[in-house]
Amino acid sequence: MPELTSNAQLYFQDLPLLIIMVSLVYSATRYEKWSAILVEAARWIAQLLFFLGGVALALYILTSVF
Amino acid sequence: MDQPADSAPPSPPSEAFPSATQISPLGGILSYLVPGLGQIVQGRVAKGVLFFVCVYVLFFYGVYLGAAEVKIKDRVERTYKVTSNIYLPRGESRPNEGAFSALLNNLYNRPQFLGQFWVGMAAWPAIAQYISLDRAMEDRLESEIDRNYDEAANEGLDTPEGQAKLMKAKELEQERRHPLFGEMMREPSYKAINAVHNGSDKRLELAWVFTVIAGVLNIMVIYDAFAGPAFPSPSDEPKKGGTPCPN
Repeated sequence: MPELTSNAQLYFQDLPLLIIMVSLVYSATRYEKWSAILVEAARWIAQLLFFLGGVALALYILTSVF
Repeated sequence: MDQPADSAPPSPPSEAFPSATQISPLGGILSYLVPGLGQIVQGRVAKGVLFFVCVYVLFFYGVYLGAAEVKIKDRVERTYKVTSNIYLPRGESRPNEGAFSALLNNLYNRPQFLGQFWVGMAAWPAIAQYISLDRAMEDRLESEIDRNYDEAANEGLDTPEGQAKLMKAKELEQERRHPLFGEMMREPSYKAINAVHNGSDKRLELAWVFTVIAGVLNIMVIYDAFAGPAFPSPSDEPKKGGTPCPN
């Protein structure tokens, strides 16, 4: 099974900051009310994590098989 | 006891922020200069501060990731420095090429700056460096610095001649600095970029992703200050599919 290299771990450690900031700013440009902003931001964080996690999983499986 | 929602008096629309029909060019300009400043001036202080913090955290974290200094000892120890990933390189201009055409060519070679530019004043040192940089002079200085380092190594660093050449090389390096911004957002030499890539654990390619995303996010912030939020109703709620709440 392939292991994450130290470089890959370095890249992953910066990801949460990027996801949270992008989600907050995007949501705040869509809504004015804080509750709406936070709900939308949480939804975007979940979607981004799901999508990026899916890509990471697919790549991990591909590198494990081939 | 819960009050029925219908019995509550309708809240008056806030005049602190513009509605979709209330256009604020000044707000847009201010939010371009400093992320969130337009919203703060419009009275939407908390939102302005949120934009300011988020955009600048991304931007300056990217700057931090992309800045590095590497000392490489070959025949003589040299310091290579990349101050940030925000810069616009000035290529060799072709004969009879206008300034605008040259700018387009340089942007083609460094499209990242098209995104970084929108972060506002924080990216202006890169523009100042681009305007002041003379390609021919830069190349001449670069080769002269290389020659002085080579001659210092040939003469021997323990000799007065070698030390003089070394001092001359360092003086020439200082000459390249911008009078106001120094080396901030200055186009790094290819040697410096290669040295940082090979000799440090910096992630330059990830660094510009952060700064470009910060700039592009600020375009949305500018639009928010210019024309208000996408769904401007004060009682809006996010809905699946991104449709505005009809209220």
